[in-house]
Amino acid sequence: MLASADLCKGLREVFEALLKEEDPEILTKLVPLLSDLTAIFQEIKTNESDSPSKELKESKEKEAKDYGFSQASETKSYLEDVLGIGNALSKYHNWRLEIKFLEGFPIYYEIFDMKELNEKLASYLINQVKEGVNEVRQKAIEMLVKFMRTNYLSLKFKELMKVFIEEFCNSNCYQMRIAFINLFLKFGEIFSRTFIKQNLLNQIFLLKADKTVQVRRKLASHLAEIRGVLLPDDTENIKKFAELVKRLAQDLDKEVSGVIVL
Amino acid sequence: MLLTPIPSCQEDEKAKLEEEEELRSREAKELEEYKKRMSLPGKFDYLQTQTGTENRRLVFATSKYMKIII
Repeated sequence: MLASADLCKGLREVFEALLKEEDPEILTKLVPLLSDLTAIFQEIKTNESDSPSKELKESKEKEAKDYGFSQASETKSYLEDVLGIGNALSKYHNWRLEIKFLEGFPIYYEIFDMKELNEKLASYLINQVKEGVNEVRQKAIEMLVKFMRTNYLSLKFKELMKVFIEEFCNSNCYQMRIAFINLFLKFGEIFSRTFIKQNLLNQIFLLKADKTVQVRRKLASHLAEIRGVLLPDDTENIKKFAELVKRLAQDLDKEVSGVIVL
Repeated sequence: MLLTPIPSCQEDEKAKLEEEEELRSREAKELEEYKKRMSLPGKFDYLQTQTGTENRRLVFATSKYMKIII
């Protein structure tokens, strides 16, 4: 029993040392396993912090219950260290590995405290959308929308929706406005049409008059998907969509008007 | 494109809406659990009214402070 506890502690220390690694060769081997390893060691860490003594454990639990703090937030999680690995990958411009790293994110949505995820992971992903290379940006958008599907803190959820509109849709950078279209499409895949109507549809319609041709081209190339998220009985937005199509069909840029089939 | 009918989505929409509703109610359920943990009945609601905030942590922090001053 003692030996297994020692082994556990030893392995946890090795894992914690690995989380501080910046050596590209080690990161290449670590990243594909990172989310699974983090889930295992986070559980061990949480259990260890619970076990020092029965009395201490009970007093900590009582305190946590009295003041509404969950046990998960009492124990320092590995989330910050994990995101540190992501920052190290960005430094080496290894986008393929960054994508692998991002693909492990859904596991974190289950093991870390939702408040911590909102504070740290969401801002990391938003930053990756802003600064990552195109492939990383696409994956970060996908993971951001998946995160929103699990994000049950209503206030934080609303704040993030506001951030998406302000920092992507209303951005001066045309690539961010394209990112907003991609974000919209991902939301459309997994959220209800009612949600899309209430939160995102008006913004996407506004992009029909975007000053940058690349944004209009992007919009024109995804009209079928945009139409696919309209509710069949939503006459007002069906009308707005028809206006959008007509506007893009008359666009002076041939690549925009050329893809429109009325 | 504009002439073809928009595909119906009733079942898929219903399932997604239910999932979204469940997600929204999760926070409320957690809040209910926290309320139950409070020792005095109505203490949470009282503190929430007094502090004028829905911020759960602030309300609980206030309860901690009140234990000291009362």
